[in-house]
Amino acid sequence: MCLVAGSLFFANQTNAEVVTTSVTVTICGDNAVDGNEQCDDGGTVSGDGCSSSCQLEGPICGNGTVETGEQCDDGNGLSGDGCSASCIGEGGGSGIYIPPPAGKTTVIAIGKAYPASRVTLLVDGAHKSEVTADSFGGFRFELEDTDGGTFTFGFFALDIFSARSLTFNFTTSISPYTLTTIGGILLPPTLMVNKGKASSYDVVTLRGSSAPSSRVTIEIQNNNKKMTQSVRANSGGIYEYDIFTHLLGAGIYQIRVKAESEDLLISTYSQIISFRILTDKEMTADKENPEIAPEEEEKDKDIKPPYDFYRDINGDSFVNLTDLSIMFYYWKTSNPLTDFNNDGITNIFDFSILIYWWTG
Amino acid sequence: MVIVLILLAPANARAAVLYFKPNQSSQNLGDTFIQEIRLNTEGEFINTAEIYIEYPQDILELADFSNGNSVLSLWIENPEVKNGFIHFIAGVPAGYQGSDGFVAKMIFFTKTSSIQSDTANADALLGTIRFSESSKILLNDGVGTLANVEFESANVVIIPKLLSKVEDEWHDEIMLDSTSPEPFIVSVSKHKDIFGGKYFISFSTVDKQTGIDHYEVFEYFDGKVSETKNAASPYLLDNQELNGIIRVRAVDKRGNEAISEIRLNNELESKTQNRISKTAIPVFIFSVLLVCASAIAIYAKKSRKK
Repeated sequence: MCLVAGSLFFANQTNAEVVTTSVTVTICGDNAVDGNEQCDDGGTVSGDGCSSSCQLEGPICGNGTVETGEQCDDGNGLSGDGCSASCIGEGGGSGIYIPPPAGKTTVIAIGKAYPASRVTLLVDGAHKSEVTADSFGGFRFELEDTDGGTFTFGFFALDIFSARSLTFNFTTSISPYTLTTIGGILLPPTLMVNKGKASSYDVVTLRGSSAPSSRVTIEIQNNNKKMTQSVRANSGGIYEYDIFTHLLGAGIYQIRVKAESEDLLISTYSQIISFRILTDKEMTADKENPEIAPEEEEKDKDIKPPYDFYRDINGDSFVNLTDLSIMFYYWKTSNPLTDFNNDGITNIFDFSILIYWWTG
Repeated sequence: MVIVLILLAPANARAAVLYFKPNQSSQNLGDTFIQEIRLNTEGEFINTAEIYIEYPQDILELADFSNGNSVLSLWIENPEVKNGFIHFIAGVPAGYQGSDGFVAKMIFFTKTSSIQSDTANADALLGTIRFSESSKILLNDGVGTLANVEFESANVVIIPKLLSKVEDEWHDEIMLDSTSPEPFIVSVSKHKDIFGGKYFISFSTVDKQTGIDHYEVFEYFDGKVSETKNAASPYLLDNQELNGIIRVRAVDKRGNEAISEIRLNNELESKTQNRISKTAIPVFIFSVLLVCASAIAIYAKKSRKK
């Protein structure tokens, strides 16, 4: 199967569609109580009346443990024994209250991919962690002891077909000694087609993974026409759609998809993949020029992820610093290995294409 | 605090905006000041920036450049200064979208030689820092589409008065940096088409404060050390036997370091460690003591009131 990488088509047609994706950032430790917070004392240390996750807590006088806010706790709840019933020290004396350390900086990211998919977290482009999504496609990452500063968090998923989603990137500022929760992440669906070329009376099947029961919007477009259809992913997160080529006519078409989950989260678009519908004349030329011949009918099992899109220069299934190193080696020279756009030189355009597919 | 961030793909393709912050400033002669480069993507996801900046070299000198805390995490061509132009290329894997993205800081020194010595009545000097039209921003669309870009310049007024004490906000910022660069991993690879199929290493990290100053590579093998200051990735290994230790040191502008080390004994074993600069430690201790002293003072004051 030969698939053509996404062309300029959609990129130049940004007036075609509006996508609004909302991500919620909750900061525990900024002195403002909101969201699911019961309290926010400006720190992320538990034991001071407000827990590290901004939930109310003790102190409990009489439990034998001196907690913040108690001068003493002898565990008996009686006054007159040097420690009062309200855990105030008796018999004089003084002390110095030393504020507790400010706590740690924690980031929690919660989102939705596809059931049983493998979700990867990138931080500033570096591979940080992987988790397996639950049967509802839910995933959760927790990063502890990070520094404060501006961070870019990237998320992508590998579905049960080994198809990879496009990376969803989110840049935000993390304040030191706060718990920042990033929620509302919905990863874009994966997208595969069963053939790159088809005759004018043929069926091209799209398939991919999305959040369970999500509504998947499919855009099929060429320079002259655009078709938009919606399908519902099943409870396992799989969606499928058949394109009847006689409804479109000959030409090169680009496809991309986005999802809306049952809880109304909206994803960004998937990567773009292309297929070609041949004219009758091209059909006639089949035998003479197999290069443009439509492919034999492929069975369902032949629907494969478009690995050749991934710009994995060294073929190790990752697009990372090693691939970038190879690109650097040929920087500003002509080498087909790294000159992705075939303009005769390895330069920023090829760099941009490489890091679009970045896996860390 | 709950922030709901709306990531909006624009209905109409608008131009990304490259601008400076501040866009107007007034400096005294001999001052060192910071001019930030910022980016508004106007709702687009962008992933690559090639920037050319022209500055008035008759009145300003580029003293330093910092990419600390930049939204761009991969710097593939570090800033090069030539004939009053600064040029660099950087990117962010999988793209950045935002309205006030910090790209980098340029640290300028106002040249005292720009004013004649007899300057009692000299006029203020006006300089403009501007982006060259050759600057490019590429969309994160998998094909490297050029974004439409608008450029906004910045004006700097130099007051021709040499004060006894000059301002240096960059020095102050460096002294506050007591945090190491982010931990990172060094990978060893080889590929038949580069370096003649020999082993090389790849590395990259970021620093959230003053920015990465340089990398150093140390190779320990056969009882000796091979050392390269100002190393760059990819780095061709001296020792192709993979039987020693490779250490890469990322150093920020303050001298804080993050170290990534690989032990090569048939099995790869890597570890990372961070250290703050020796000069940063006293500042940190002083800060802690200051906080404690303040707490004691506040407590004592409250006690007296009672």
